[in-house]
Amino acid sequence: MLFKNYRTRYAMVMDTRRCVGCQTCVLACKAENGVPVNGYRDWIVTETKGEFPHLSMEIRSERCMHCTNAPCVTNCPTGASHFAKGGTVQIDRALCTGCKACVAACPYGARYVHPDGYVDKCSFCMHRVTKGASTACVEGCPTKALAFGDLNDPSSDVARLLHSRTSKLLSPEEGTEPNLYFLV
Amino acid sequence: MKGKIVPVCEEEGLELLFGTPSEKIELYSQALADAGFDPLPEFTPPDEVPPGMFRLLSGRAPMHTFGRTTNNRVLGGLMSENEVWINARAARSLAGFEEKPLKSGDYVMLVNQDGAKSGPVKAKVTERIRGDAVYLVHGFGHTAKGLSFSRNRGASDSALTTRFKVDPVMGGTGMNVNFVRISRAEA
Amino acid sequence: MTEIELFRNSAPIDPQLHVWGWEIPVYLFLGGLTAGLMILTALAGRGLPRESQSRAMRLLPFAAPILLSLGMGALFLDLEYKLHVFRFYTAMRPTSPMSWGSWILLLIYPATILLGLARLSDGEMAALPRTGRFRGRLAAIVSRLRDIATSRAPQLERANVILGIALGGYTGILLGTLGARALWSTVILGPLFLVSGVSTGAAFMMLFRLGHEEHAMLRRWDTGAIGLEIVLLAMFFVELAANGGQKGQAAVDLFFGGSYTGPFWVLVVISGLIVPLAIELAETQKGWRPAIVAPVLLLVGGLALRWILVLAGQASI
Repeated sequence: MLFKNYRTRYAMVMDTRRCVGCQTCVLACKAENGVPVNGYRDWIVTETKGEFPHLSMEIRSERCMHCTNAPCVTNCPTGASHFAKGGTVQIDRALCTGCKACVAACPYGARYVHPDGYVDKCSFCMHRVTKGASTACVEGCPTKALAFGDLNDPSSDVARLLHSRTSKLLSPEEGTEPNLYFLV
Repeated sequence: MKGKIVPVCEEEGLELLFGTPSEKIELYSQALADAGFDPLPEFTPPDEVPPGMFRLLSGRAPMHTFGRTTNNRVLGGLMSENEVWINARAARSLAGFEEKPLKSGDYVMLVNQDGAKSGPVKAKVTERIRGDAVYLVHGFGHTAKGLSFSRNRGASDSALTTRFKVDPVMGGTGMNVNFVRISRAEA
Repeated sequence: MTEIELFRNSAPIDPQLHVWGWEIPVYLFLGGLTAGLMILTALAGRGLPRESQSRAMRLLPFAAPILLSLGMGALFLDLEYKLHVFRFYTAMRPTSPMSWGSWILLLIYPATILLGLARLSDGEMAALPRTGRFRGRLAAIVSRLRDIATSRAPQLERANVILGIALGGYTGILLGTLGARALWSTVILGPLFLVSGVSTGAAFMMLFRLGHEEHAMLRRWDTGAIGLEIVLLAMFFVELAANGGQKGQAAVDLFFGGSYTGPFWVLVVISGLIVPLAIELAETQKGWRPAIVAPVLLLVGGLALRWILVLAGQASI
């Protein structure tokens, strides 16, 4: 899309093999970002396949994928949804009219309408990351199932995990090029 | 620091021994035999599930702590009511549901072998449980008025646990020994 | 068998998307109606002397800005942060149809009002109320504008047709770029909503007392538009089923056995398209007296089409 070449490319890697679905990431996020009761910036999905007793299960901690090719950004009429530092997708509340085109455009259901009248979603905790900390969900995760970092830095956690493990993306057919990878 | 240092781990010199006569894990326990119990654990089969009924199992959800947090609005947002899990194949041949098969989200009532009743609770038809048991997350179905959010949400497994069994050797209680019948909740 | 459990209840996206209620379909309907009205009023009165048109036909261009304002009112009600409505006009985002739309809407007001002034007869001009403090100056401005509009009538008509097509097409493309919803992710929605807009525009005009010739001409165009709309609807489903993959198939199933089957076939296809088409054909060929039934059915059908597509689109993944 418009601004593809970032020096840093923030991404998250989520290990579906380590996750136990305890929801600490969800509550850590809610506490850190003041997320209202009826809104979720991240959430847990469990996917069970097969018939009893031959079952397999995958547990995922999902959030905004900060897509490289983000349909929410292209469909925003005011520029409130925009690409920002490290290729992340951010929302400028002062520009948001609450028209909800971005909510309808997101294939991942990552956005919700904040009671104060703007659309809200995961920010990759940029307010923490710019101060050298990691995101609230990563720091809260008791099983170390989450990693956050710069994909363009080969020594970062995310780059090393992606090189050493098999990973997948959600709905790659949408062409959104998400930046949240799931280790399988 | 005063007193003798007591080693608490291997690195501090703790000897890894058990308090048994052989100081090892004992599969055959002379102590149990002397007390008149089976020296080797012997399998005692659980009671058969009566026809048309299900064994009631209960457990915890990760977001709630025992029965105490269901009234918390933030945690309640993650899970505001419990559902009764029932195997998909069992749900298809459930007595009393021949005309309209049970679907996830339908409200049902549970009645146990002693006539104890639950309030209406949502059914969850799933492959994630065996066919002769149903499962409830513990901590729901509160009746206290002060629990303004969680009151009357879901069903209480405690109310349906009218019987329990005691392990004759160590006195532990087994509570998954109750059986329930499922019927459609009146609207 | 796959079981998916989602541990959240995020309003208003769970259990399925329902961010858009009645406001958006009403706006899309009135927008399409305005588009049809602009195209048809511009074409119907093209090159004709004012006095040869019926009074209703001369005044109908003024209905366009009124209907559009009602639609924009509905759109405004949908905004979660109404004070920020001006933000649409502090940005131009070329990738967002909504941004294009908000600028197009601004151009429509002068285009339709000037076209209306150009069509106004001298008698109607003289009958304009002349009271109030600024009557002298205001009357002079209106009369000056009318002179300009009259001299530029062909350009105005062209502008109305082009803006009408842009508006009618945009109401469909607006949904079409939201690729995450299988039902909407097709370009056919643009032409479909445009043609439906023309048809509802014609129906709206036929509610008024038009001349016999004018009514016959509108009816002729309307029959064509309805026929084209039926073809486009069929193409819409074929395209979804053929190219939409599993999600597209699931979206199509909503209308063939799924929860929107009844309303869609009854309100949109049968009473909204086929019945009025038959009535209009009978009016043309068998000389039935034009009744109000067909236009009303068409308007209800046009609103139902958008209402159902907006709701069903949110229900499709």
